[in-house]
Amino acid sequence: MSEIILQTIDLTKRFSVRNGIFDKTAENIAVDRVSLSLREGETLGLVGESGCGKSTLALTIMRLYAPDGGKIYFGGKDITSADERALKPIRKQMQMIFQDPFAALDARLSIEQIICEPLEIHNIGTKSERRKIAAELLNRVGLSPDDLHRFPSEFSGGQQQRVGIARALALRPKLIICDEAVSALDVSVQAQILNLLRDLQDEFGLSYLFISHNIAVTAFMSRRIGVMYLGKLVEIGESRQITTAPRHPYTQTLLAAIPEPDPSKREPEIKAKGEIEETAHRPTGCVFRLRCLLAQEICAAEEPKLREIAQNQEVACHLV
Amino acid sequence: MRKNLLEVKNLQTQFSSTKAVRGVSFSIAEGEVLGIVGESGSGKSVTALSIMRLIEPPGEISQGSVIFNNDGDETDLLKLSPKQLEKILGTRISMIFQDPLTSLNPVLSVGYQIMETLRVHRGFSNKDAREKAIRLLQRVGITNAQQRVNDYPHEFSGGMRQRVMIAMAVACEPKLLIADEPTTALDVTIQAQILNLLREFRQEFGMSVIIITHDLGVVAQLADRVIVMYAGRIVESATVEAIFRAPQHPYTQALVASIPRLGEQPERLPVIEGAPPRLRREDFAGCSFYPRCPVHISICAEKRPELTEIRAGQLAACWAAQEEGAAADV
Repeated sequence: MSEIILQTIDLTKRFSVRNGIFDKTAENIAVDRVSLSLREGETLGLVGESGCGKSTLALTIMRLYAPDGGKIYFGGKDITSADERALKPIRKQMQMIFQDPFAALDARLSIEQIICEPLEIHNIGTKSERRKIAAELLNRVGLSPDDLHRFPSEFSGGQQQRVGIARALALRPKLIICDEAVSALDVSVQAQILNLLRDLQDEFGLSYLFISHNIAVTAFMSRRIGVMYLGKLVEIGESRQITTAPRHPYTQTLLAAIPEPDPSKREPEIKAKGEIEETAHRPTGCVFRLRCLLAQEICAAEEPKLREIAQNQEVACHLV
Repeated sequence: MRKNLLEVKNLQTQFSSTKAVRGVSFSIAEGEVLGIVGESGSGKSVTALSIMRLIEPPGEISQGSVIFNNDGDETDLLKLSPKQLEKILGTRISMIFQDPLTSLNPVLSVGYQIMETLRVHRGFSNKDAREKAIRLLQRVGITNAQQRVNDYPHEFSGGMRQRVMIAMAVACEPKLLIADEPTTALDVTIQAQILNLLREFRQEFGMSVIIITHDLGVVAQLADRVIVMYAGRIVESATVEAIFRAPQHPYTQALVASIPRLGEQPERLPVIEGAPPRLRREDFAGCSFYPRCPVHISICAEKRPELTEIRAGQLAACWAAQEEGAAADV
């Protein structure tokens, strides 16, 4: 088995929110004691609905947010409280791809400048060497070296995302965090980018943390999937198990709600009531209990811990 | 055979530099749910806005007609005066959008906005309108409607706002509801609830629905019939079963094949090369899907295929499909 490249232990991120001028500041626990690990060359998917903390988790792992508790290990090193200087060589090995490729690219820079910028920051190569690297990368992501002199606005959404991928690859990272990387793309273009990401993984030996609200897309990309709800990891397991035999009532709800592209499978079973709570008003005990149709007394009294119920399968639910 | 409620004939809508809708014809029967699918720039939303006459200058509807069957009285919506149009749009046809926050007035309570519709179009008294507004909010699943009726749009979550929009849209029991990406901005569990609600209203008052979406899952769940648009034209039109089981146009085939499905874990996804074309004013001589099409034959670059019946109830605008269909008939 390959080495663990990324590991978090009880990682926590809180934000304080003020409700009006006189109200007390409330604590919003965006990420609540999340422990996960990712091996080299593997893809771990993270799914959940808005406000579940999946993007905050990614930004905390990147150390773009300062963690409020727990540990982050990258390549075996504790980077939880590393300072900016110690982080620089580590950031080189972790890159990110975002949902809106146009917003993520500086519109005033040429494609060459965009891809070469990280190389410059890390003092890699001469100007002509950098240009050569950029040209090769463009080629690899399905664009042409002639595109070096063009600007982001001249490209379609799918092409812009290819530029974003080329930039992420420039420093030869070990880990790429893809945060809703294909969500803004048209269906026909989405499939192209997903295939490209899988090819690049083999070629560059990349690990991905693949974050998406779309479980089918995540399952295509990932060997394992973690499911988040209100800042907590409620279930984690093999993609096949999560998508065909989910155990946590929330995972079951989420899967039942997906409109299947098959007209013979209609009328989804609604397995939850109500709407997602704000993280600022989370219930005691289990975070899902107010919407859970199976909730019992113990669910309010005690917070369920993530525990292994089979090999490679962990669930945080009293009733499983 | 059910009667046609709405018939769109050769609709063309253009903006200063682009022609977004290039001759679209279709009809929707009473009580039917019609799905319109397509990618960005396919013209699906502009088609809906044209039906509602919501195209703002410099955009204009340059050709075509939209015949609405108003209880046996056939009228062309494109020829009506603003006043006549308002009467039909307020009561017989209504529309909901992707982002309910931009369609709700932020400085009026949601109750007031629902009541306004009822007072203006139905002549309800204040008291009756308020009662009906509360009943409608309850009906769309808003708990504590008695109090919530006084709340403002920003006090509701995204899913709740979409429910309010639906309550407002169905207040006058319209014959036709046009829903433009109504669940695209919502989380999946909320989306499922909203889709259920649309199903229920269709059952309850036999309302026809045009649902516009890029999500084939939503279409599969809700629509009876589907039209697929590409570059401003309809490329295929068929029952929802045929679209998913036996799509005839190569674009529909590729679209259906390229969605990742749960429980299947292929090594690669089938793709359509290239990207949807940017719309321009001028037109190709041939089929606009031709540059991306995996099956194109020589005629495709020269002459544009018309929407033609390939099999009973299934139309496609594709030379190859027509040739195959003809061969199968012999």
